[in-house]
Amino acid sequence: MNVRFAMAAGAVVLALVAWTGTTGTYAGFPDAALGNPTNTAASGALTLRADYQSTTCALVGSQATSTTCTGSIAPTTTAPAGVTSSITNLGSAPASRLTESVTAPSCAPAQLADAASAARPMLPRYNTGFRAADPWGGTSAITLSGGGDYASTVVSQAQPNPLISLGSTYGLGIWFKTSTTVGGPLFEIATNATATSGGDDRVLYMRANGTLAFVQNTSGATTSSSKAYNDGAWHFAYVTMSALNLVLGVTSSTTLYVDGVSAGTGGGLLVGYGADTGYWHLGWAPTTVTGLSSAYFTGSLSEFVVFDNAGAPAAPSTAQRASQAAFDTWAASATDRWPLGDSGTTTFAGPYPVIGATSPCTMLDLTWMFANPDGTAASGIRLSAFATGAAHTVTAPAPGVTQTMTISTARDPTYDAYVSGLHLYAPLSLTVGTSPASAWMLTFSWPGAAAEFIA
Amino acid sequence: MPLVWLSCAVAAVLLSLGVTGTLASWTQAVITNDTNTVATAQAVILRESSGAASCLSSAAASNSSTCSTINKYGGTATPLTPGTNQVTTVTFTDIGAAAASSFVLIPGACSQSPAVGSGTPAAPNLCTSGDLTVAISCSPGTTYSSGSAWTDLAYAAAAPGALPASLTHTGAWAAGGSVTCQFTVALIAGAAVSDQGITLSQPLTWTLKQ
Repeated sequence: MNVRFAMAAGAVVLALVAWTGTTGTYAGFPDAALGNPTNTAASGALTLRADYQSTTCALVGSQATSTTCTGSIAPTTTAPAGVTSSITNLGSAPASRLTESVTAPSCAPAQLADAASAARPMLPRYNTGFRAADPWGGTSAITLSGGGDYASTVVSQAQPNPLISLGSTYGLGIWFKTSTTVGGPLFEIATNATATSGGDDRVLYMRANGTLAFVQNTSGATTSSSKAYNDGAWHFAYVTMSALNLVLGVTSSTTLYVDGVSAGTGGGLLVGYGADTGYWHLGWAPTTVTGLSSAYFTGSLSEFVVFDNAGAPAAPSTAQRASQAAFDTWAASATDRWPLGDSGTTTFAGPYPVIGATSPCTMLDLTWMFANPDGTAASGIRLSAFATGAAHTVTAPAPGVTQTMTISTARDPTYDAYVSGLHLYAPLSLTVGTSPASAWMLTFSWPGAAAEFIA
Repeated sequence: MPLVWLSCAVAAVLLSLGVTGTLASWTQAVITNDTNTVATAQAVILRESSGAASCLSSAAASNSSTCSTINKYGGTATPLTPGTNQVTTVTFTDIGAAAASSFVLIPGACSQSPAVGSGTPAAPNLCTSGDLTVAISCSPGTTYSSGSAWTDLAYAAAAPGALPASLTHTGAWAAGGSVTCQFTVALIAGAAVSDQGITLSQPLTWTLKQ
């Protein structure tokens, strides 16, 4: 009887289990859930560093979009020349979403402005330095290394002859600072616009012993100082020229003032002046005229003034030399005045002596090659054709990659000796941006005079 | 004669049984049950797959598991720049025997590195500024089709920090059926330069209900 009961009870249990299972009332399974804890995205970052000529220039895109770099990524010596630098991508934006380009907005030779006659600037050459310390603590001075640097005007000027302007006084003045022991020319006028002798006159130069001498005509009549001025201090040399019609004949009178005091006189009966027409030069005069070992000046020059309007003032007094403002007042009547405070980045558009309206920038060829990744921004094209403002595109480096670039210059077949040493201002810039274009971009620019090409 | 021998044999067998007691009496009843079965309930099980990666909700006994191998925002390997986006497609399949009636997305808190306000310049809040947007759209099937996209479980391109507390699709989802969701993370063309170099993260939880 027990066995039968047990069997019957088991059957009931099995029946219940089967019934509940198949109908789902015992379905205690929870809902299905999946958690995704790792859903991430990132914005890229633009960070670049330029390494060039022992200088580094860096940009972090979240902090700035452009920077002005010192020095130059281009050759700073006379063409032909070449220099290699690099751009390193320190950011995270993938190269596929980056663009890189280089550009220069324009090209023209740098000038030294004529404050009295804007049409007659000087063009500096070779290693002429800009914005050097001037006599008053400012920066209106240029530096010349003695190694070929000089500046000359672009307009030929006829200088008056005092002998035919009796009673008139003409003046020429310049601030100088030098410690040279080999001497050197401060200024002169000549028929050639370059460092080529011809018709040289009104030559003021320092002898090796530091004394000053002024050649007042091509026959060699000279007015000299007995005191030396190569003491490394600023001095103002001022030469006045005049003529008197005396009973016995025309007499010229030349006085060399230094720091407002007469340092020497010259001229005399029947000693004339040249009625020269030519280009003013600073820092150069032929050794055949000066007798020096070098045709170039070493030191600083400031405020070259020319009074050829027959009304040259007396030499400036101590007070008139005491400040820039006082000197400006004294020099207000100058017919030409080159303060020499130029930054080296203002340019002259021509026309030029010898080559006329042709831009000197057509006479220098540029090659700009990239590697890793490779690219060509310019391949032997004229600097004038490159510097149009157009972007020259290359492939940007990937994050963590250093891309090298080589910029080289060469003389174009049309190169004319007149442009030799001119400072061709074509400020370069390099930009890395995004594709598609956006406000995210980094631009390195080299706008300073140090970045000029030397023809 | 043969019949005699047969009768003797039967008699001998009966005698033997009677002596051993096997048929001494009829005391047991035997029944054989050859159909004893039981069944568990039918369940929904969620599988998530994207490319070669795949995860199952049933990886945990609770039918609720964590899937860290599928990054729906595309990851950080190719950082975004303005005007670019990255699209990730994920397919969900109910591999359980039960049909589902709703599918729920619950976004977690959006966070970023570097933290908001830190660094120079101060890091902006990319979770909420709107410069970085997330768009979510799902459609039935194993491939995404914008033409048949759900309208309830959807999020038009907007800041991830502005996602609602939950997004729910209500409707029958047959056992074995699939849904494919597309995630588009974009940095707008006018993104601020201060948006650079920020990594954003946001957990997402998916629930398939019977």
